[in-house]
Amino acid sequence: MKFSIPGTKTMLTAAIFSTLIAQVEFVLAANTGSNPQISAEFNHDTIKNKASLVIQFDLANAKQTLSYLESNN
Amino acid sequence: LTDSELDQWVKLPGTQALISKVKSSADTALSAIKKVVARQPLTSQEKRFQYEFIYNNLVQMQQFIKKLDENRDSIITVLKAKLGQYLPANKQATITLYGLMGSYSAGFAFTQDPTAFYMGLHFYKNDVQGVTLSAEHELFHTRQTIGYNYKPVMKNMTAADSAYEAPYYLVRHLYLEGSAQYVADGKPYIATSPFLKNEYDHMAVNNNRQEAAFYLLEHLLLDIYNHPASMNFDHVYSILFDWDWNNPAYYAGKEMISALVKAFGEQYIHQSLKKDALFFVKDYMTLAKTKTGLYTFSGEFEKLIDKMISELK
Repeated sequence: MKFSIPGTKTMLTAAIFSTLIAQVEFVLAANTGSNPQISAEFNHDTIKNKASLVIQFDLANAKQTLSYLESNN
Repeated sequence: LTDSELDQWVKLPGTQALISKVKSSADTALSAIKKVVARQPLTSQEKRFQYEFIYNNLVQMQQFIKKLDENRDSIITVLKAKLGQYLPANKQATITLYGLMGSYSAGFAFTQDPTAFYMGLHFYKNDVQGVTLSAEHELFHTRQTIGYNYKPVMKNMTAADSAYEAPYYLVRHLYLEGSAQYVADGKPYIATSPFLKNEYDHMAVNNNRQEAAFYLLEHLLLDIYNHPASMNFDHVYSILFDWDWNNPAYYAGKEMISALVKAFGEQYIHQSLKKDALFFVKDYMTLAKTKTGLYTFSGEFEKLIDKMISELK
């Protein structure tokens, strides 16, 4: 998509928002390697203040996708 | 899985996000996964889901998901410890990290929902630490989104002068990516995480062309401000922020926030979350005038930043 038309503020806005702002994406190259353990240095004072933050890690899509592929392997 | 179970799979939030990400449909997702196991040729639309790659590496993928599942609590604890410190004391937030199998992206989010983030786990090749730190980077973006709503500011600024739109957007991203790189710094983990080492090595070239990276950033922003009618925004964004160009704006942004934190302490990160990204650039420019070894932006660039700051309501 190009933005070379003079005076197309609306088009630019729409294009920026649709192609860039709509998705925060990072593309990283795949690599191989060992199985490192998670290393974490905890600040216990910090952890006490974390009650207001809830993080969920939902693996349903990954598990069910693999389950389907496995059942038909 | 039966057809009815596959229908449930399609309705999962993670699957729905994946379909949106690859700009496809539920029917195409279903046909893609069915064709892969039937070893039938895929259309270009169906290939976007990358099920063929996952199917061909099924055992490794299963082992990796099992390991992530076993480490789920540890991952969440690490993320809460790192990200919770940036949350205001009286603020509550629930963020869901969706682990996906599919698509061409290792991580993405939709700005209409800052409480969710999606990761294409098939990219991470058995590297739990890589997943954890990448999640930290992306979840920090959700914190940034909560902290400062720049969209109405951008609207006002663009109304004042449409030529501000692209440089303002890029300054915002310079801050977003630079500070996320600083907060989720992969360097301490490169000895144990091949994924993060690969990322670090790829960007390391910027260390040898520090001044050139800043020069590129400065002059691209000036160019699109001075010649908005002839710019190609996709190219500019790609040159500054894409992996293929060694992410020079990620590098420059991280260098800038690192200098500011060194000068003003970690609280600079907290303060910056509530302020417009223009002040981040202004603060750096002011600091660079007093410190040796920091890139000094030109007077013309500073004037542009000052003009945009004067438009802030």
